[in-house]
Amino acid sequence: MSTIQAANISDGTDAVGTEYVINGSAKAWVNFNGTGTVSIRDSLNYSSISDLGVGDYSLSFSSNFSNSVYSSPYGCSSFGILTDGRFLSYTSSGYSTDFRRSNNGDSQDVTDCFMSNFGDLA
Amino acid sequence: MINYTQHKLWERELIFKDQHKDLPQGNYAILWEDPAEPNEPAKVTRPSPTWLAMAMHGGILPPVDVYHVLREDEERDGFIRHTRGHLLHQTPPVDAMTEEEAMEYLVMKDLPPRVWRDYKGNRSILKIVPVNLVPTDRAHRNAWKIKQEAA
Repeated sequence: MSTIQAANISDGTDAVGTEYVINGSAKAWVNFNGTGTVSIRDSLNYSSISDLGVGDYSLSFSSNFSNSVYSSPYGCSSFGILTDGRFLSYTSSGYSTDFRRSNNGDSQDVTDCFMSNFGDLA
Repeated sequence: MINYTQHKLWERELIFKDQHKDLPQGNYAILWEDPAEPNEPAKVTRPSPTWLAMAMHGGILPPVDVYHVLREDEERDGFIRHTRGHLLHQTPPVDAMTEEEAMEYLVMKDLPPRVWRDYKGNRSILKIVPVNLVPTDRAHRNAWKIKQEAA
């Protein structure tokens, strides 16, 4: 893998600082199935998923973030049921989540979950 | 033959993924109970197919001790950010593992030490099992416990 070192990237008209590209890229992403026997369908920079109970999962990174201050936008579906996700704990090596039905707060497994993580890697 | 040691750990995975598509799921799962939460159900951990393939390939992942060093750093009062992240990238990687060895590595990497290192009780709280032995019916998911062997 070769390395290009440049302060800016330009298409000839517009330019953007390389730092924006580097810091704005997802450092990890995962697509997982949280039903049946849980599994990661595909991922980047994830080592494992743990099924902690109904609607509760923890996920671990292969390469740590530099600290626990990273961003984790996500989208999940749960058999068509509207759910709310909470992130319960963050460390540089992973995090845990809890999904609940929006209408009554009951824990809810998710069928398709897509998460990505932005921040600085260690 | 790619020399992964020339690259940071996260770069190694990018290179590996480019060379290895549609990786299969692993054959094993880790069942565990957390002694800090005795009333909580058993947990099930499964590896990412990419991570498992990298572990079995060899020459990519750092020794598991590196993760323990980072965990200890992070647990110290006043921790702000890792200053020894280079250990992930510069420590000579481990050789190829069997799938069973990779699961043992994963136990030590992703499970709390109180489960695999510190627990002294009589209950069996950690097992690596073929994934087809893990229930798929989640109707009573929050009642799952690890079956104890007969005395």
